[in-house]
Amino acid sequence: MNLSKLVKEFFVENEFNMISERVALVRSDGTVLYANSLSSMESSNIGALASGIWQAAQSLTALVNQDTSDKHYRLAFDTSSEGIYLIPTELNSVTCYLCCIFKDQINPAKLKQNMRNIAFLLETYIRDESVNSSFPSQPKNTGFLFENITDQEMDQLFGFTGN
Amino acid sequence: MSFVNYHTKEINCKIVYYGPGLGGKTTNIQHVYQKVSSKAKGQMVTLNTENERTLFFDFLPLDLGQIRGFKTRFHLYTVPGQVFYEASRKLILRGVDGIVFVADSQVERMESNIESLEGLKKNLAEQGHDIAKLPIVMQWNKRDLPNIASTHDMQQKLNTLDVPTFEACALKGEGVFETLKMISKLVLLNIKGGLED
Repeated sequence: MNLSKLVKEFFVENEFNMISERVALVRSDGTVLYANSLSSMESSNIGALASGIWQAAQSLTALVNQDTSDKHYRLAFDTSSEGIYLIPTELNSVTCYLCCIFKDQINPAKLKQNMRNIAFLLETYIRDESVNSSFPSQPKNTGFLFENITDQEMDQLFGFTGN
Repeated sequence: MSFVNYHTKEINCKIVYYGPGLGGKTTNIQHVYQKVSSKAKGQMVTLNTENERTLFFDFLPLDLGQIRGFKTRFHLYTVPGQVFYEASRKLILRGVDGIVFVADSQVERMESNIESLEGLKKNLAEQGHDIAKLPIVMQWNKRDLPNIASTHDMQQKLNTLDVPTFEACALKGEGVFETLKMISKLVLLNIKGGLED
């Protein structure tokens, strides 16, 4: 079973993708598992920035609190109607951040509460699916995806450079 | 850590340009940004200081095309090179799949190159990476300037791991894609293959 496929199903089937202008689920390294953006390139930017600000905030917090591991932090940058909100979630042993970017919200606190509920539901959903399908947290095959790649294949990938 | 989506047949990889301040890391990915068609690239994100030095990171998502049916997306990051941004560099190295070490060829910058390389080794080790097992490419940048160290000298002082090296003048675009092509190949070859349903 594929984690990003499951996550997409979860958001779309429950219409959680409509909760705000932008919703994304991002791994701690910035890889996007799901985003409701129109462009996948925009999603990549959201992934890099969301992961970056979370990690920077975590490092700042560590200046006064070395042990942050068991705390449930959230990260908000907002006015009374627009901004961003991030919360961490653990999916199949993978740390991710659920991120929403919102504007023109009458009640941002309600939105944040909904986000926390979604994070909880998502964790439960993925856990249940993991048990049902017993999908591995690590790939079964530890070999390499590509045994070899020819120069010709690389030239094709970089064909646009004229090199 | 690279991310392979077997459902959509997509590969995501993270490549970090590392090196001393003013060495040309941002210039490298700016050149890539300029040369790649708009279809294949996203918006370049730059988090700069007022005088255009990298504050946190630069980021460029790049769709190169398909290899054996897998769509490839490379996430290019630069770290801030200035010495006092060590904490930021550590953060950006998280989940890295490959490193381009951009060294400044000017003789007077050799100490900075060595210091940056030592920092890279330390930061990778702290995150559990074995630098000898991570795909790395070295770029000797600014080869067009006067008073540069010989490539032999750079090789001896910096390339103790004996990784591939490229001479470059990133401002003119020379050596930029050769470097990127090599690190991309090494990263793709290093991806562990899972058997997901």
